[in-house]
Amino acid sequence: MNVFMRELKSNYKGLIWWSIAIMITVVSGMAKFEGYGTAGSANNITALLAGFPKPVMAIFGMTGLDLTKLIGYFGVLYLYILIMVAIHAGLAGATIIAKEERDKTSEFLYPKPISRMKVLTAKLAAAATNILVIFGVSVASSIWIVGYYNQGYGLNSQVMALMWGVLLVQLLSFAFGAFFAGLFKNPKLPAVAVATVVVVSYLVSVSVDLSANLDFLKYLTPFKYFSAEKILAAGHPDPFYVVLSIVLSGALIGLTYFFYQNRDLNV
Amino acid sequence: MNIYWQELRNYRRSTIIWIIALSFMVFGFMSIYRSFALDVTSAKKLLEAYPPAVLAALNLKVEIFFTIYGFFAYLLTFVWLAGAIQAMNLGVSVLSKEVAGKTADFLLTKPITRVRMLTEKFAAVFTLVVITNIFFVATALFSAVVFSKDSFDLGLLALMAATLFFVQLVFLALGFVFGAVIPKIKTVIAVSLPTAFIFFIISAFGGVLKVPNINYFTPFKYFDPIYIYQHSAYEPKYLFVLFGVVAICIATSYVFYMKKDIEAAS
Repeated sequence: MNVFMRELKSNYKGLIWWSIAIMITVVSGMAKFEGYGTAGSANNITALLAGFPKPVMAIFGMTGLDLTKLIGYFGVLYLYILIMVAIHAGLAGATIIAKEERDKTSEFLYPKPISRMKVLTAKLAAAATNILVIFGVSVASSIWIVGYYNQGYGLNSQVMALMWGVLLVQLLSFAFGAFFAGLFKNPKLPAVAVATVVVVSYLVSVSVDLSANLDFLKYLTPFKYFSAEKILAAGHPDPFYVVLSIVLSGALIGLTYFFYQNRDLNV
Repeated sequence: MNIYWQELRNYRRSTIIWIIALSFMVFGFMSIYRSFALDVTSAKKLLEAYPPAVLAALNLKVEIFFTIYGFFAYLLTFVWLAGAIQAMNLGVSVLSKEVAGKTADFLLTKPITRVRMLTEKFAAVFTLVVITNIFFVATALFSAVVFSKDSFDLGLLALMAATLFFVQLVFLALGFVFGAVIPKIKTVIAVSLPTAFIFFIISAFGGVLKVPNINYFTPFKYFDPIYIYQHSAYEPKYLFVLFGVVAICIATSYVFYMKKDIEAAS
């Protein structure tokens, strides 16, 4: 428990900053809905461009979401919430393990009468707690802001459907971060690696919209697994990708234990 | 000049990786242009059916977005994002790594002034950004030539590609001031990535909002492709703001770092 409590304490400042950043993203992103909803020309362009090839729509910033509807507009914002939480979760998973070697404190921590497995479990649990807090902040601010503009909470089930996408993206990103930290000896590499995974996944999800030839790439990026269009159309995240994400995350966490148990720590 | 060369050496590998990544990005995206151009042809046919009044309203957007310039401009947004992360990484780490790596007291006890040290370090990361941009602009022009069937104005495309340099300059200076002011930064990417993305998100949503002033708050909005297309130049007011922001950041870094209490390794 000591390791767990210590990690919570050492992360709480960063957690507050992240919570504020998420809240600001959600609230200020939605604040612009009014500007968009009232701009009549926007509706005309949407109508005008309907029926255009998908890549052309993508260039014009149309994604198959109805931007004149509150939930469609929130769907656009949702992608950016996904990116933010993915960055947070990935870095949380990576740094919580790698920091001992980075700060050269592993010689202090690991001779303590507690197994490496226990340390790792406590650390992962602490990171998971942080991630759940961020999830809570995302859910609360999203439900509040959508409810505020909708003047009621009738859209809650749709918002929550999107939020399960947020949680699964967090889980995947966290698992990747932990996995890299278990794998790499250089303590700076895990954070860079998971950051690269997040940014590349985002860029891949953008390029999928641009060309029918790249459609197969959608299997590689979580931002497409849980895209707003799909979740809003179905009313829930695609079960296939839910299972895929959970299995993949479980495997990555398992591998984290495997590699970290057997690894020679940098001192 | 020792510090300057030392820093160039330090970042050699990561800069090469960034150059390869950016080149791959622009080449990869431009390779889609062929199929996009086909889609555009069918879209143009659809457009012909619309009344002229509607077309006039859309005209400029359509004119640029259906050309290679428009396609390239779309790609540029994402190149800016990647480039911002690179520049911010450089700016943040070049100062903060001495404290994080516990080498600050080694460096600062050398017989050189702090001003000189800061100048050499900034010159080094600035050089790296310039080198990155030379490669990026070259690859961009090369890919455009390879993948475009129609002829186009190379100079105009180069002007658009070179915006990367200015965007990177802002984030480099911003990172530099972060590195100078924040006492200890342990994970550079944890600072640079969220910062770059927050400005990116502002630019994504600022476009929707019809308030022009929002554009001053994010470097991702300083270069409007439509303006560059029309005038073959950058918008002077944004360039002015850009250089102002850069100057303020660098000046703040110097003033602050001169008096900064540097944590010694224990």
